[in-house]
Amino acid sequence: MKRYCDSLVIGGGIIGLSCGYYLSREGFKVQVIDSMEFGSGSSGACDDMILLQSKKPGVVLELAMESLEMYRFLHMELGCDLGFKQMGGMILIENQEELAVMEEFVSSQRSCGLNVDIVDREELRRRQPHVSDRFISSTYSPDDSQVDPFLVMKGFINAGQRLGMEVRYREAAVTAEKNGAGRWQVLTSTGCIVEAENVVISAGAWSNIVGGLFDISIPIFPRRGQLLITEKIPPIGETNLWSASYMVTKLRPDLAKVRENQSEYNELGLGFSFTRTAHGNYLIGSTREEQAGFKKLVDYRALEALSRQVAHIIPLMRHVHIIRHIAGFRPATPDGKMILGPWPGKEGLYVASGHEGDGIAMAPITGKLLSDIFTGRKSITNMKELIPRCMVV
Amino acid sequence: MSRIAEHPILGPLKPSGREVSILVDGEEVIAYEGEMIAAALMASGRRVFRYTEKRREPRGLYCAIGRCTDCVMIVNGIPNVRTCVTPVEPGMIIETQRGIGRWGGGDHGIH
Repeated sequence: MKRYCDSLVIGGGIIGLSCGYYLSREGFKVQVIDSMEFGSGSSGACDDMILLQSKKPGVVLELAMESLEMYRFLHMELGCDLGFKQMGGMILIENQEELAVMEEFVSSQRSCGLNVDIVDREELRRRQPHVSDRFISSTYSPDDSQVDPFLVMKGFINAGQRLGMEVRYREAAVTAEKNGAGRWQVLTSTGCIVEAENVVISAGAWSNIVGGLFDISIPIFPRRGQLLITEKIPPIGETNLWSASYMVTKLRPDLAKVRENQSEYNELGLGFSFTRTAHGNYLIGSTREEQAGFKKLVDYRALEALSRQVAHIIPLMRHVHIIRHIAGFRPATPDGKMILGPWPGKEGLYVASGHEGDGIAMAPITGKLLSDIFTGRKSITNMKELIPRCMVV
Repeated sequence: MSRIAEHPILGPLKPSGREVSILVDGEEVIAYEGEMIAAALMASGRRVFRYTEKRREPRGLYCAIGRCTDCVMIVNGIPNVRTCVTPVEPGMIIETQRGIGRWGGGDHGIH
């Protein structure tokens, strides 16, 4: 059997679906395929944050801010509830060293127009009465928001289908070649050949595997994260929480303090995030593991480290039950920026992937930018930092 | 108080702990130290331990072995405490939980 379309999107996570939707909106005939099931990859194993405060000033922060603005109105465009909520966020600061780094970081973000501030101990206590006394201050941004990734994906599928988009799960790309007319012929695991003018690879952490079918090497690798999920509990404080120690380690590695169990800490890449879902469960994260490959396993060591960490920061959490422990793969790139645009030397081949931990936040803007590239509204010379580039994995 | 004093298989049952006082929704209840909170509440004639989140329906003791979480209450300011597997301590403050409950209330160990 043979199917025809303008654009074949390989990867039906939140990024692929966003690309599919925005391309459909421009009138392209789009088909999305995914080797797995709806939400079975990273879009279903992540937290739900549109976190602006963690972004470095520059293209990533600018796009995240634009994406947040899109999210504010996306439910109207897609015609369904997306669980959008703006709870704000705070990054907890434990000592003067961290404070100095965060003050500099926050002021550079403010100069990019981000609504963020450093607040004193009193305001920290007022907004977060259960946080341990050891924290001396915190950042605060009222803009940090969240959505339900499953509702967003469903929204893109339903709105896309109304525009003629076709979505098929459990259908993998097997081989790819060009025919005499220069159109892609992609053989799939169901025995179909999909003929398409353009192919978009948006397979997240698995993008490089798909890239292999097109003889390209995409510098995206899986960085495993483990998350704990609590029972439903009453709210703890006003906002979602992160810790500065992780941000400082990223921004100023020379200041990273020597800890107990340093090697374990490094291996797990422990960072602190604490976010409340729409249902009242909390997501407690997370690890950043380089060596796990595609093993979607959770381990006891991470469970212990994550539990110890949250009890250290919010002592009350010792009384709360953990009901699940999950793992997922961040699609990571060597320079920490997503890859978006046409692949050099491969006519009609595009990559939209490599968002690491920002896929949920960046989904709308990614699809929008890709459709702008397709329609020529956006020149890729304005997106030098994101277009496929040479990087050493 | 309704307690089983003579059990057909286990024989005569005598509480092993000393009598202590706990506070249940503001009322004093006499319980035995070390027995499960749920046992003390059942003995005092209480059957409703909490109300569900969505439909506000009453719930009480169900599995009685710590699995089903139907019997959770707010104990010393901590919500979601399974009363069927949590032993009585003197002076405990126990409250009926509505929905997901709330932090604090009464004298509690929260800090």
